[in-house]
Parts: sequence; structure tokens; C-alpha cells
Amino acid sequence: MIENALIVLAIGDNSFHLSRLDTLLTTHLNEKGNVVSSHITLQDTKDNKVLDEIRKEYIKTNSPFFIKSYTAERSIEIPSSSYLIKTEYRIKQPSYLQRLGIVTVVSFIASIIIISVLFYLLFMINRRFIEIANMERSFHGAIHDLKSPLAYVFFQLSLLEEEETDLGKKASLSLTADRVTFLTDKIMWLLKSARNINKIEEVDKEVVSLYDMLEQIENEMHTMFPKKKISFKYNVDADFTMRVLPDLMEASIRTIIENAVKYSSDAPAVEVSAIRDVENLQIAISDNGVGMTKQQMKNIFKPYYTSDKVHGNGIGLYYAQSIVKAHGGGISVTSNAGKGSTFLITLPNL
Amino acid sequence: MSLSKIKVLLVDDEVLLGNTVVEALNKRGYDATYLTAVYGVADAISRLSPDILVFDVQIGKENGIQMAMDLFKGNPTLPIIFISSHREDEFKEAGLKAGAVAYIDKPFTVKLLSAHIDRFTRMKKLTPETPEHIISVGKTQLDIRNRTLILTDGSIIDLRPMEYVILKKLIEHFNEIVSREDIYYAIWEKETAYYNEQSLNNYIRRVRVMLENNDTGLEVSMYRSLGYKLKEI
Repeated sequence: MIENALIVLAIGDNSFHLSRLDTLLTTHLNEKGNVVSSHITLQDTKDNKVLDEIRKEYIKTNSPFFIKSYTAERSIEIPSSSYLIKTEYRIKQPSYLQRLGIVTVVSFIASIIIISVLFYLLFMINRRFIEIANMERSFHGAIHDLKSPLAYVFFQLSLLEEEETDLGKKASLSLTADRVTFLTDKIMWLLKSARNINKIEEVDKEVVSLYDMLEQIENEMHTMFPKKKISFKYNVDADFTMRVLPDLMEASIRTIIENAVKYSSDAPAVEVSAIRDVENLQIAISDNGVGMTKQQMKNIFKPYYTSDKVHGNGIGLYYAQSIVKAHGGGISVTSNAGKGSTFLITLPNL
Repeated sequence: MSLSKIKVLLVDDEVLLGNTVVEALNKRGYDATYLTAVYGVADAISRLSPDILVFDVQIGKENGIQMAMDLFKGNPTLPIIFISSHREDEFKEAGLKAGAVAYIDKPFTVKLLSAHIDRFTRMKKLTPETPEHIISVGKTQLDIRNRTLILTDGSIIDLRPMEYVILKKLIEHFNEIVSREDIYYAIWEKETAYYNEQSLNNYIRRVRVMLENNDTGLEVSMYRSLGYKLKEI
């Protein structure tokens, strides 16, 4: 009743401004949406006449979509007079569809972008694929081209070896011919590796004596490093044999021993032990060289890694490991910087 | 009986190798001709009437095996030997299926090729002379002229000079013990400066392993401080 009295007083005073009322209401309603238009009337219901009326348009819009009308009335009655305030507000709802629309559009655009990126990647991968197939083909051809002249060299050497009567020269020719066969085998290996057919056929394996292999490598080391006093110690039975691809396994072992000799003082000591148990063969090659740090140990089997920037070409140990792996085994290393290293070759016991 | 020369036709696109092989074969008493390409092979065959064809599996862009199959149909009695850098088994199988009598991997020695030619033209000769240069032992035959070992399945093993000398010595004293000194002498004769323990051990081991790894029916036994003996398994 006090409310009503206050309102009547304001009306009587002519201080009840509808526009102010509208502003207040609009501000409040704009929080809920966008007020499109407002229409407020003040009526004197006793005398049945309209005292004041305002109409305001806030947003120009032609489409009736998403516009909701809200009406409210307030009657003010006191014994002496009665009034009626009628309000109609038309408010534009931020429609769900609209809201949805924005999200949909954004997702749609994002999907288009992602799909385009995927197609692009696919295209690039396909191109790369073709590139690699071409590379393989030319690699194949290159290998063939490498082997042909070697076949000629080998043939000539075998002819000369046959005709030579001087034993010394005959032996040299024989050794040279052996190196050519080794080269050819290595090339075949490279070709196979490029195709990732890194499995060695059982048929190609031969039974070889580890001791013989080591003696041969020892001779080569003495020839390659004439200034060093290399001492070799073998804890290997004379009849310790293994079923491997002879040239390649020898290359692996030689790489390790060569490193042992290279990366040490003028008096390297190389010790080789071999044990066979039910499942595996284990060949340990230890040296008293400069050893390696943990960091180096992690990296040495990576292709193209080398600590020796001058002489190393970094392919040795990676190559050696891939050969041993293809035999079904593995190479591991332990080392103490400054004291020496031990390489352990494990092979399945065939 | 007149020993007519065996006529060999070699087809390979590697000119240096081809010429050298043919020259070497001619020196060894064959009548060899060299063709660099497949074009004209059929002609050459009808012109020369070779006793055997030696074919590179990959001649330029052509597929030698396919060629061979075509030729085979036209000349079924002409033996074909394939030579190739491709050692893959699929190639070998394909080659042998096409009708080739042998498949030789590159690189090869002249004597291995010669051994193959001898063997497969010998089969053709209607009057098979028992050649004095073949010794049969166990399941194998030692080809003395070419210093190779022929196995029962027809494959031929090329022997390195020292391997051959050792094997021959052991065969000559079959079932007898041969001393190391005798073997040294057989290889190096009086040049004692060349005597090499390690080399000898290596080669004897290689002979042993070779006999073991192949179906030869032979083995080498060691008698400590006495020597070695070759016997049948």
C-alpha cells in the first residue's frame, strides 16, 4: 500500500516519467537479450483515460524471428483513484540456433582446415613414396653397376693368380681376389639393407672357427698399425665355432677390434673371450683404451656418429650391429672413461 | 679321336668382362664368341652352332631369363648357363625353371666357368670319353683341369689354389694319413720361407668345412702330430 501511495503521489506531482521508467526497465532487460522496442502506457482507470504513453524502438529489425514479446501490467489502487501501468517489451532472444550456428560454423571451418591439412600430408607422403621407389630402383641399378666392374676385376685377378708362378705374388693376388669377394658381399648386404630385408638365409651361413677369424684380424691389425705394440689375448677354444656369414661377421668383429686398437695408447691390449651356453654364444672383446662416457656409449651405434672427426666415418659400429642383429643377436657395451671398454656380442647358439 | 674345340657363345652387356672372358676361354682351348646384346642371338646361334650358351640374366633392359625361355623353345638341346650379379633365390629358381642347366654368381673365376662348360657339354657328347682329368671320390668328382669339385646335384664348387692342392693330395692318398710336412711341400715346395702355420690351418679347416657343408660323403680327420686323412663318411 505504501508503494501504491508513493506512485499516486508521483503521478499527482507529474514526476512519474514513463521514459525514466522505460530506461530503467530496458537497462535491466538488456541483460537478458536485446530490447527491440518498448511500449508503456499509464492509464487512469477511474476516469478511463490514457495519461501518458511512450513507444520506443531500439533496434531496427524487419524479421519477426527470435523476437519475443513480454507484457506486464501493474494496477495501482487506492481508495480515491486507480491507475494502470501497462508495459510491452519486445526482446530479441539470442537464439540457440544462432548460438549453435556460430559453434557449427566454427567447427565446420576447423574441420575443413584439418581435412585440407590431412590431404596435403597424404599428397606429400605419396610423393615421398614415389621418390623412394625411384631411389630404390636407381639404387638397385647402381649396385648392379658397382658389381659389374668388380666381376671383371675378380676375373682378371683369378687369371693372373693361375698364371703366376712366383709364390709370393701368387699369394698377394689370392689375397686381393679375396678382398674383391668381400666387397661384392658387402655390396649385396647394402642392397638388402636398403630393402630392409635384414634377415640372413640359413643356407648362406657357414661354420667358421672364431680363433681362425681372430688370428686373421690380428695379422691385419699389426699391418695397419705398425707403430703400435698391440698385445692380443684369447680365451677362446680352438674348436669354438659359429654358424654365420663369414665375411660379414668378420667385418663386425674387425670393426670392434680396430676401434679398440685405434682409440688407445701406443700399447693397446685386446682381450677376447668366448663362451657358449645352451641358448647363446657370447663373445666379449675388451680393451684398455680411452673408454667412453655414458653419452658416447649411447651414441656409438648410431649411423654417422663418430668421436674421431678426422679418420672415423662413423659407419663401422652401426654396420657391425646391424649385421649381428640380422644373425639374431646383439651387441652391447660397457665402459669406463679412461680405463677401457668391453663389447659383448651375443649370438643364438645354432 | 679328334678333340674338336667346344664352341661357346657368351652374351653379356659388360663389354670389358665379356671380352676378357672370351679371350681367356679361347686361351684354354675353347672356341668362344662374344655378343654384347640380345639382338642377333638367334642369328648367332644359327650361324655358329655353339655347343653351349652363357647368358647374363640382366642384359641392358632386357630380361635374360625371358630371352632364354624363348631361345630354349627354339633350341631345346642347347645348354644354357646363366651368369649374374643377382644372387637372389627367385632369380636362380626362375633361371633354372627356364631350362638353364646352371646358374653362376658373379664374380666368378675363369676356371669355374670352364668347369661348368666342360661338365655340361660332356653330357652332350655322344661318345663320352672318360676324361683323365676327372677323379671320382666319395659322392664327388674332382675336376683336375679346372680345379673344381663337382657334386652329385650338378653344382660345382670353385676351389682356391691352396684348397685344391690340399684336397688333391688327400685324394691321392685316400684313406692314408698325410703329414703336415707333405702338405707344406705340396703347396710351397722347397720355398720354406713361405711356409705358414696359420695359412695352412686355415685352408685345411676350409677344406674340412667345405666337405662337411656339402653332400660329399667325405670327411677330413686330424691325427694329432701325425697328419690328416681323407675318408668316406
